Amino acid sequence: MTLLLAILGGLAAVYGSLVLFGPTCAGFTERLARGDYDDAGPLTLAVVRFHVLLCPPCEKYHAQLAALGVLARRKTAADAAEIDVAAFKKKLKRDLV
Amino acid sequence: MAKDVGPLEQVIEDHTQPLLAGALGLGLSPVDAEELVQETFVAFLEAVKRFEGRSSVRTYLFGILYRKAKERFRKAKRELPADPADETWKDRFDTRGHWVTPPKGPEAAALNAETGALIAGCLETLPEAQRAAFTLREVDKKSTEEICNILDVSTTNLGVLLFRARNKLRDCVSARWDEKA
Repeated sequence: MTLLLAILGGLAAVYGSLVLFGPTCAGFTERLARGDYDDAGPLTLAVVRFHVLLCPPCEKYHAQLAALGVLARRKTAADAAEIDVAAFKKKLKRDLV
Repeated sequence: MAKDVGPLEQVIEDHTQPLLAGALGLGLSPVDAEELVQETFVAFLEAVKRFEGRSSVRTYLFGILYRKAKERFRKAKRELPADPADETWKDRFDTRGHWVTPPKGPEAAALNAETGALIAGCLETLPEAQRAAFTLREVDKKSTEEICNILDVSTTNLGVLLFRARNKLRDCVSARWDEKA
């Protein structure tokens, strides 16, 4: 029982400090878009997950940004498939050698 | 002393594909990527007599590719002053930093099921430096330091480029999604 209360107290303290001292939704999403969290360590990522957990609009924004990366990777793969590399190499050799 | 790099045919054979991938990774279209790779080989031919073998041919070629790309992205610095998109962004929040206009548009799961076609036209609307910053980060997964070196911008400027690129793309993709629905 004491342990449970201690855990709950700890979680409440973390929640309280994040609400009081953590970034606002504007600050959080701005840092997210600027890439400040892209190379983040595990502790910062835990704070990101916690904020996202508490804020549904931030969660949606975060997920949409991640999905943009997936779409861009597919687009680049499709562009790469569009180039006829063999023909391009042939052209380069003809022009340069 | 110049180092022999072997027959040019072999250099073209071995390095064309990775260079094309690198150029596409800068957010260039297939046509522009081919053009940049051709310019890279031309510059390589001019500089090959000075190649001393201190780096591999591949590293040397990529150095030229990124230097050529940098010339294209010179206007990056001119894109940094205020952008109307920054004001639109501020309007989404109240003075306490809470959402006033929460993000609309598709759920991520729906976006993930889409092909790259949804983003195609949107990427093309971005200024070159923003597109390169976004693609280097999201497609090539390059580190902040590498991207800053390639684009010749500071960490702060890279943040601005990524912020604008991601928000414009998010707005564009959401609008296209709504049109489709």
